[in-house]
Amino acid sequence: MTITLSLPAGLGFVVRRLFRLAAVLSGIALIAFSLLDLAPGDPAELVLLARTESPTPEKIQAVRKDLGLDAPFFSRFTTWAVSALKGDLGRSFRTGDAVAREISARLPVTLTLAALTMSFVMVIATVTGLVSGLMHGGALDRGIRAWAVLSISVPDFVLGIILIFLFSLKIELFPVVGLSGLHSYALPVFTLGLSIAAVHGQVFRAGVMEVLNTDYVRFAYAKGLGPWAVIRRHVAKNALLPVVILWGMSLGHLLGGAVIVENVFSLPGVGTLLVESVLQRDIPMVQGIVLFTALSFVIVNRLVDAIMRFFVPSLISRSGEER
Amino acid sequence: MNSIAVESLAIETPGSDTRIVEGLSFAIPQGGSLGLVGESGTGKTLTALSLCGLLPEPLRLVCGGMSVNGKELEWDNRLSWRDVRGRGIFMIFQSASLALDPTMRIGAQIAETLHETKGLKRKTARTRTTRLLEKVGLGPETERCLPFQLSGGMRQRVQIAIAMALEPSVLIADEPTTGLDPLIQIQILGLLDNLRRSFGISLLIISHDLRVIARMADSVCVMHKGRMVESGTVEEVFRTPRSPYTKLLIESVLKQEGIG
Amino acid sequence: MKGGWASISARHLLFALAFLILVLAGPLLAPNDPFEMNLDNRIQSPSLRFPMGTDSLGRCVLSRTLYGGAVSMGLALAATLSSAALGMGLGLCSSAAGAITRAVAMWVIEVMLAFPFLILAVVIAGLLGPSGVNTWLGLTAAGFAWWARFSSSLFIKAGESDFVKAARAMGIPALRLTGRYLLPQVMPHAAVALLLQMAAMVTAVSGLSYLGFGAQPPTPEWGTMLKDGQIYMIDYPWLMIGPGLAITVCVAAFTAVGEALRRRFALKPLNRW
Repeated sequence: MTITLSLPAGLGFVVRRLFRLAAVLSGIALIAFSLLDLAPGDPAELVLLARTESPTPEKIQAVRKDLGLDAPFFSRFTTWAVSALKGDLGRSFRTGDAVAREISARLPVTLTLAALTMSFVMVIATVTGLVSGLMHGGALDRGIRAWAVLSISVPDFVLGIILIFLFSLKIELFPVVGLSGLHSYALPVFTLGLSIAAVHGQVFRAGVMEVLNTDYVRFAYAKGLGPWAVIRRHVAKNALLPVVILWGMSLGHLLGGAVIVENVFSLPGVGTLLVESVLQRDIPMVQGIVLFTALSFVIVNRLVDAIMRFFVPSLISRSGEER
Repeated sequence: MNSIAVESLAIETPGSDTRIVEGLSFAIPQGGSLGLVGESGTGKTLTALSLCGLLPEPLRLVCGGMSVNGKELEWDNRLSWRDVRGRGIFMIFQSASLALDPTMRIGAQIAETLHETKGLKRKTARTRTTRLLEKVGLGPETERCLPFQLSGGMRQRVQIAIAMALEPSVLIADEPTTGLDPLIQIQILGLLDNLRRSFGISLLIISHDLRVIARMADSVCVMHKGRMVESGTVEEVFRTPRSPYTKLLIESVLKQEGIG
Repeated sequence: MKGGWASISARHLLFALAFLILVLAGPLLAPNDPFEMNLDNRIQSPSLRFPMGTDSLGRCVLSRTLYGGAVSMGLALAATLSSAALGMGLGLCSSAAGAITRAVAMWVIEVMLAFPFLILAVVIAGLLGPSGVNTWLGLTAAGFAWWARFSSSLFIKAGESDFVKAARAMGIPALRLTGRYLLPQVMPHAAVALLLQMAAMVTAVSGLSYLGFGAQPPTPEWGTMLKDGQIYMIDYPWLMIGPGLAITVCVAAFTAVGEALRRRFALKPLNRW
């Protein structure tokens, strides 16, 4: 992580962190906003095209005035950012609806997908990583590692298509596309989660092997504890620490990967909304989604970081020694 | 009766002819103490680990025979070690900061020992933990601490408290005072001595420091490059050393004393 | 050390290189013209003339898969190399001596990492207009921050080693210091990361074109072919076997070689975005 872990020296620490957070958040807003100027062509023209009106010079002039496009970049940015702070992300070029409302309407699907996938990843990664790490070098470990390489190698859209073919078309166990209750999330969750679970499992495996070779595990055995007590209380807990940080980091992977998986399974989430909006050059919508996902990513990771610091104070001392 | 007797212990790496430790034989009577002395890197810590059946992979223990409390130990059977570890043989590690689980509170680390090896109920284990900490000179507030919040001397005391909880037949203390302040060294050695006398524990004390050995041990084994070069009572070996290596060791201590 | 690293990695890198050349040379092996449409031959089952059948426009699926490899891999290679170069440059800056350079570089890295990789790639490539070049631009823009963070910690660690400190104290110029002392320490890590990121980029290139933001028809590309084949999935599943298998094998090859190299260097598992 690029976040420097330093000893909390009271207020100065908090102020420095807040300043840093503010700098990062404004950077994110700046990038999201400048997407408007990235798209080739006059934005006003894009608005008219999105509304399927013919772009006559008069109309273009009217739209430019309406959206305040003639103002310099920086003043447009501050106006946009200030209203974004109030929760107003502008209006869609296409439908004229509030961007924030459309995003929140699509959000439940994406969040359900993310939450279910995360639970799937946690279970699979913990079990495979632990088994693989404890039996490293054995047949089971080699099998799990081959499975991991395969899972990482099959792209989401290929796996999704194979699953649709097998389970929806051939044996009709799940709906082909779209949403009809919670069980229609089964295939998308598996598709999105498999590769993440494989990566996390491998990280956990490495952690388990590292912890198995520490003095405190040998000491726990020397105390006469049974293997299960040692694994449960000392190995698993310590090896999980780096993986918990990954759980926060993989939110970005979940949101990004959801773009493809939602499209493969035609789920009406934020990911499909993003692809539709990009294809139709509905720039305020794109800006809103990009801003929203980046902000949630940063905030979730700060939260994970804070929670870890609260529950595992030794983390602070360890990173303190590293510096 | 001997608490522990070891016949020609060796540690080998698979696929290599050279053995890291070879031909080490010793016995400690009940309540007795043996010092293992030698410079660092000579295989003392590995010897200690091998006596708990905890050699790091891929090292292997090869042994002519080992008995604990008069009972022969199947040293090549991983499962049989489980019955011996803890109540039979226990080991205090050189670096207490590495031996204690960094994410577990001190109280829990002691209580789990009592709970798992003596079958104490959690609540009884808790109260016993407080008493044990008191015996090694630590207050009840230590229970809530994580290892990194304690000083090196305090962590070493926690290890000794765990040894008290276990009351093992054989206690191995691997460099128990290395890296501690001189005053704390004396206190730690005092605690170990107490422990040995009050429970009748046999002590195997490992150190590079002859003064620690002289203070703590009845008899001594001198190791050099993984081989035992000399053994006998502390009196004999320190007064009339036979091997040139032992002579060198003793001379270097005398020189240090002369300068300091 | 130097000889060891050369001999160990040479085998893996050679394998990866050979694989790359094989795929890039794929068009030479194609039995048919991948662009030749023949509406009389639409959606044929595999035959001697068309070993993997034909698509909805009567084009040979095998030939298109072989051509598509050159397109996908070429784009993935270009995007990997450019994002690695850009990112490692930034990573070097973030470990540089000047406090302001360092702060700015850290800020850029932290901001860019907040955007999920695929979302940024889709948005940039999509808004610029779907094309091969814009796919490359989008993937580079989305991918360089990972390299910056990855290399930053390595450069910082390398800079803290005693012989680098000594070299710095002797007044060796920064450029030479970087070339002679810092880069060689980072190279094994970078080689592993290149292979693994190459695998990720192949997935991303095909993913973008699957969503409709990649190379445009009639250019054969694995992701596009999958998208086109998906419509006929129920009755003509073989349309998707070629491109689907090709992507998977390709990604698996780079992942496996990268992982083997990683284990040889005893490095920790890499976390991708």
